[in-house]
Amino acid sequence: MEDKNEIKGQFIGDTESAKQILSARQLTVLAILIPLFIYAWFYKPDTAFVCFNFFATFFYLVFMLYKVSLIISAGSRSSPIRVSKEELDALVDEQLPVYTILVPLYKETEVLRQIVSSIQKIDYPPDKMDIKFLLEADDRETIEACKKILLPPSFQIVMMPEGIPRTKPRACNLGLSLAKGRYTVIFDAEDIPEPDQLKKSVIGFGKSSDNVICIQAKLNFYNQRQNLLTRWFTLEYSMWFDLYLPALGSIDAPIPLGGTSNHFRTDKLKELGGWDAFNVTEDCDLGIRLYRCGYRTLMLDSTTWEEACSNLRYWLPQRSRWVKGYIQTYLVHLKHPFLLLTQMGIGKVCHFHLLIGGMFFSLLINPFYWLLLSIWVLIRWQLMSAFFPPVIFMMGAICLLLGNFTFIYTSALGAAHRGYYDLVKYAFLIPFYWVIMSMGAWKGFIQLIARPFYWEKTKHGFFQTGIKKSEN
Amino acid sequence: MKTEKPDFTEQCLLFSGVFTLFIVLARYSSSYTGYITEDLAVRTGQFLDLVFRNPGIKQSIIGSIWFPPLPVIIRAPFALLPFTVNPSFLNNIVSSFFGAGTVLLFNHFIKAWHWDRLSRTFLLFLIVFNPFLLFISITGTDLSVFTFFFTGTVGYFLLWLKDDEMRHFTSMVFFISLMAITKVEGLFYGIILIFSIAVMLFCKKYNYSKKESYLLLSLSPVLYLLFIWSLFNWFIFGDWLYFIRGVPFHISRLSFPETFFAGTLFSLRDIFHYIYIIGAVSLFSGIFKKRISLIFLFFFIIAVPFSVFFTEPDGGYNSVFSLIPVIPVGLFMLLENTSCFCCFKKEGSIKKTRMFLLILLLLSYLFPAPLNIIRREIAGQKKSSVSSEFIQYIREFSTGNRIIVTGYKGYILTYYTGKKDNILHVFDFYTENIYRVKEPSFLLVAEPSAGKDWDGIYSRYKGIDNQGADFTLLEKKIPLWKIYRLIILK
Repeated sequence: MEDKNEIKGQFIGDTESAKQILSARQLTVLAILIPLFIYAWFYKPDTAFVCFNFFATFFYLVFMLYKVSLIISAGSRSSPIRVSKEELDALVDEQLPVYTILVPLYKETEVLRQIVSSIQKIDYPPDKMDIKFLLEADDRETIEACKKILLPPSFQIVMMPEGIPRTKPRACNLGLSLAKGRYTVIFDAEDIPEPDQLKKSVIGFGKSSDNVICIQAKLNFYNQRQNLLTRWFTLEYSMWFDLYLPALGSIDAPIPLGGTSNHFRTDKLKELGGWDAFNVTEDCDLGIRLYRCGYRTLMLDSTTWEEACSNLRYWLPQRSRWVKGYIQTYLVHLKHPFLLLTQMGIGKVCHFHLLIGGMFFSLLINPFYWLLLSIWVLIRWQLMSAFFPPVIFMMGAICLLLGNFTFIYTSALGAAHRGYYDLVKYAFLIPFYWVIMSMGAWKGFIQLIARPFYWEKTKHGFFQTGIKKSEN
Repeated sequence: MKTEKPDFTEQCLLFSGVFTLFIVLARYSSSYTGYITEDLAVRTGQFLDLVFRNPGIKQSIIGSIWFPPLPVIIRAPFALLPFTVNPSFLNNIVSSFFGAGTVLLFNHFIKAWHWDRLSRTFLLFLIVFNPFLLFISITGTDLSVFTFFFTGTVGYFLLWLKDDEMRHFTSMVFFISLMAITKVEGLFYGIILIFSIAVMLFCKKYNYSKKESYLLLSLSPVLYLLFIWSLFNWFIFGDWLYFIRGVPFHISRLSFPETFFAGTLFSLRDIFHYIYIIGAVSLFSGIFKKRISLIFLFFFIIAVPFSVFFTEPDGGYNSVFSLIPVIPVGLFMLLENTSCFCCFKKEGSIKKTRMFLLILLLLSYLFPAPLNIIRREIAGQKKSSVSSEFIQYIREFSTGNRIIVTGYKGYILTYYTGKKDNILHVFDFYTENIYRVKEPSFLLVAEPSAGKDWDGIYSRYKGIDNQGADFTLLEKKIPLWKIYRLIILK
């Protein structure tokens, strides 16, 4: 009988894993800092606040400049691997390697047909595709649905054994251990990859140096115009996958992988130990981990279409999981900060701090500064002047006035760059989206303490259900 | 046509070389010849007001009633270091920095048109030693900053028209936005550019969404930065529309050509400089579609007489001669596109054309200089010491809530406010002494056009004495090339 509490599907050590989020050293540092902070807050509140304010404002300024520099890099350098039609035509089917496709599925009956159809449409010899649907043993609905639609022979169902943690990366790890392909890719249940993506990836690997072990395709949404939330979400994704990530690739910085459409050299991925089953953003963690081991990720100029979560009720848990995962990743890689520095170098460590740490930190402190601004605008609380000495005031003014607009504008640019011209105007409403992002971030932060490994499942199929309803 | 990949080493070398040259010349000229402009004082003062929110000292300058925020923000980090503010070192840094930046931009645009290295080097040499660029880069006015953004705007605008690439479009928007908050002329250029973009979008075969998004992308930063401009006024003066409702504006209305309407026309004239360039380019080029070419040709035909008509007779920088720094931009475009004409399709004609244009550029050096030369000894003939007179005046009248207006022409006085303690620091560049003046509530330094009726101006404004207007200056036009002699030999 399977032990339900036995750890399965985890191939990396605890020190590299989010299983133990904080090391003893980190706990000691926190044990010193937190009481100190509380003491300062109660006994010297003004000084404590000015110090915090300086740190936060300086962070905002650096973060803004960092993002702007990434946008400039995105505009001036071309980093995604581009594959021409001639190169694709020159490929001979017989010479193509076996490609493993891992599709973790959990309660995904609404989109099951769609993923089967999408994979069938992939332009790759069926006998060279090693497709594995990774199902949880207790997920009766999906198992039944798989049986009903009579999967083609190239599709293999792999049942996950009982054990912990019950996460997507654990399923992927177990799938990886069975992978036969030279390359492996992950697709989510609701994904629709571009049909030539596997071939492009094969060419991409062929063009790249040996240390490139991962190629990340761009992600975007097929239901971008469903409602305001999906429009905002699309703006965010377009900015992230079309501007920021290619820019990171162009400057040889670590790339936090997207949750799907990551193409790997299978042997290297196995060598790395696969994904961290305890990390709820295992993709981001893997991107950093492979970089630390001297490997590189490149972006591929091919898109996988996903379903944007169109319901705030489900969107918030998804966001909270992402933020929780980013915090996990940040803390895990800072267990040995000097080792990190040695492995990545000072410049890339700065990237790590800004990209991973900056992302969640900005989301967490934003509400605080919105509140301060509101108080100042509404009641002109004069005491606030004391908290903003000239240098902080100047930095804060720049962040408030230029930083916010810069982020709004880059969202608009991302949409225009993608060709979603009709979405550009929605970028000017995106500050409201930041508010719900921060709500999600706080939820994730609180959950990190209360339920660190809990996987907030993203519900898919709203779009398909909507279409079916409208058809009926 | 793709632009070449930027060569980082070349750019660094070029920038540092030109910057060093400018800063050395700037320090030499400002400390030896006494060419110091008031921009330093005004911008630094505005910054200190903004940051330290000093309620006592409010200062402005009639020439800067529009109160553009960018020059202040640029100087902000330096203004926290007093040794850079005095005596004008900060201004030297800023103007030299942006002067070198302008050269870098020129280099970028020339490269985009695939000039060979030798021609490029020669042209860059001419640009660096272009008297106008040299002058504004070493004398510390905001013109240097403005020229940088203007050059980028025009260059990227034409690159966008040529290549229709998003990155050129966004670069252009970036430059327009910053140009619009650097000087009031930039604001008008910005408006006309947005109009031009709208025309372009109308003519391009884009779908509605694309046209709408491009218009939004170009319009939003400019509008937002104008909002910041207003906010900037509010921060310092507590009035969003201070630049329209404030005291300096009313005074400037009197000092500017008679009415505000005339002042607006004055600015409109500058707009035509831009159209003039674009018109000239489109006239000679085959890059635009016929319809767009015709639109610009139309503007070009109107622009020429307007430019001439509104040209300031004294040759100040707000004249047609401000075209000089942008001439090279026009030349690049012209040069490359002359090949579209059949008469230039012969082999070797491009080289000849280049030579012709370079000669033209050299000849432009003989244009009258946009300088108002002040000779110390002549300035002092009427008053034994201009600056001591001024300081005496401030000492006498600066206490309490008075408004002090002092008028002068040219680059003769510089000063800056102190921090926090409501003390005005006056820097006398003759003696290099700094004087402290307690609690002046308001200081306006007028920069009127030549020969205005100052007594009349002051008497029209309640509570203002006319004693500060007593400066005698000598105004003289000299050919631009003489600036070298002035800098090196004086």
